[in-house]
Amino acid sequence: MSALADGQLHGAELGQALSACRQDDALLADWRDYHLIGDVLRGAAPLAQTDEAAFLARLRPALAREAAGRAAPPAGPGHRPGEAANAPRYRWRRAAAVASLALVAGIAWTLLAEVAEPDETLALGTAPVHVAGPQGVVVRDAALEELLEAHRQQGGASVLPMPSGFLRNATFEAPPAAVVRAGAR
Amino acid sequence: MTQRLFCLWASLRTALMPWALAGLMSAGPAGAAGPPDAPQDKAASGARLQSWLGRMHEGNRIRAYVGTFVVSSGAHLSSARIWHVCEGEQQIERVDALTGTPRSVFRHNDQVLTLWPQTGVARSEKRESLGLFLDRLRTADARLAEHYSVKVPGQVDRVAGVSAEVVQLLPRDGLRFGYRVWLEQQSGLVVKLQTLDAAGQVLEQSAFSELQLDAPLKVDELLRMMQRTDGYRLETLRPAKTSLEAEGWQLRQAVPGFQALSCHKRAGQAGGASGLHCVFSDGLASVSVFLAPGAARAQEALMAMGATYTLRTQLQQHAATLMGEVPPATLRRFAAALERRPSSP
Repeated sequence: MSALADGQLHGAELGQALSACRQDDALLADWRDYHLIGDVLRGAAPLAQTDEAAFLARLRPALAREAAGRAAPPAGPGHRPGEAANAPRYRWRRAAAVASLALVAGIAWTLLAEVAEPDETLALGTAPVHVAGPQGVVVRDAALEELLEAHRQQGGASVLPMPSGFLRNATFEAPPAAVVRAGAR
Repeated sequence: MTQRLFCLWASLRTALMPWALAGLMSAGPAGAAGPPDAPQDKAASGARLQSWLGRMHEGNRIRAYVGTFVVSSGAHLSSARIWHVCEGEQQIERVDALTGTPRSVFRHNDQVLTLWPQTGVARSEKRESLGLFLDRLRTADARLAEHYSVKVPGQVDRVAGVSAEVVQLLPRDGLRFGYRVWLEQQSGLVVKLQTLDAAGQVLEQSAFSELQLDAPLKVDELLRMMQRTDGYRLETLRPAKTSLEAEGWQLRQAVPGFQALSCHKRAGQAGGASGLHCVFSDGLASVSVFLAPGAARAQEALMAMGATYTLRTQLQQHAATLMGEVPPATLRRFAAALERRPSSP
């Protein structure tokens, strides 16, 4: 241990000494004592005695947990995600974000307050629902939305190249309403 | 086969590029759709148009990129994460919607797979419309130049962190919209696109908000993801092809510039009689005509959402819904021209 503390071990001897330390706590205690003696002799203020073994015992499982939870690159279609991988780490940040979002949402809802929200699950073939809103009459029609979807799927019929055509249609989700305009233009 | 021809076109275009650029340097149309060009001007304009369209496609072909794509239509905003790789003749993309219902769309050449993780449904289909561009260039279709002109204002903007030059595609009549396209300067990749009405107002806009060019992606990685559909209920769509004439319809008069591209039968809603979905295109814009028997409509309705207009009307005891990224006047022309064939009920 004395030779190890003095940096006089190399190669195989160094490896052997380090493995012995891993297995024998008494050797580790000797290691700490040698360094404490050295610090005192050199006049350096001794640091508070910390138990590295206990610290490492807490650190290693924490690192293992973090490595397991770290989000991998998109796993592909087989991945049915539940909670996002970064949720445990950022819950406290989300709490703060929710507060600011609530403020913004409050403003948005004030603006949209006049537009009623009909039931999302309109059965196919039911009559369109006309709702009076600030922009005029707003139509919610499940049949129309289905046709819009079909139009977008075939809407790659353009020489405007990908990404514009295909990506636009893959990105864009049918909005909840279309505005009725009276009269032709 | 189509992909090999596409590569041939790409090398042809590269050879013609210096000539095409010289054509661009010469005077172009000064403003919005003005008086019709003389035949030789139209031919030159057509060549410039073909050249720019080729450059846009070349840009999409040679790049691997990852980015966030945003589509703004009217008051509606959608965004998605995009991965794109092109290796030789293979193109593969993955689009993960960041707005609305979670879904992933994979495209491998003209094969498209859509996955909805929440419902566990996977839908596979072949989109023949994706191979259209190549056909048009192969037949040296000059019809595009009949209805659109190209204008390069010499403007360079910064989009998603890259320098992009602006190209305007202007309609020659009031039956279609114009476009403003931003191409990344080095490669020609389209990074932003605006659809404009006759007054130059932006109806719809789609653009990358964030873009990483030359991302280290491989076709194999995305292909493996595309093949992992365990746990999903796979539906394969093979809609029955048909034609307007076969279903007893005809166009009394063609709408200038628009040609029929495809026609498919649609399953009847709530067990009713089957309908029809026909797609027309002028090369840049497409119009869908949905026809279904019965269901009398009390009144005509015109709806607008961003650049997409929808006209619902009644055509000889059939319910018709016409929609497309075209002005309402175009939809009305289609509705006026559609009629049942004399021999049909």
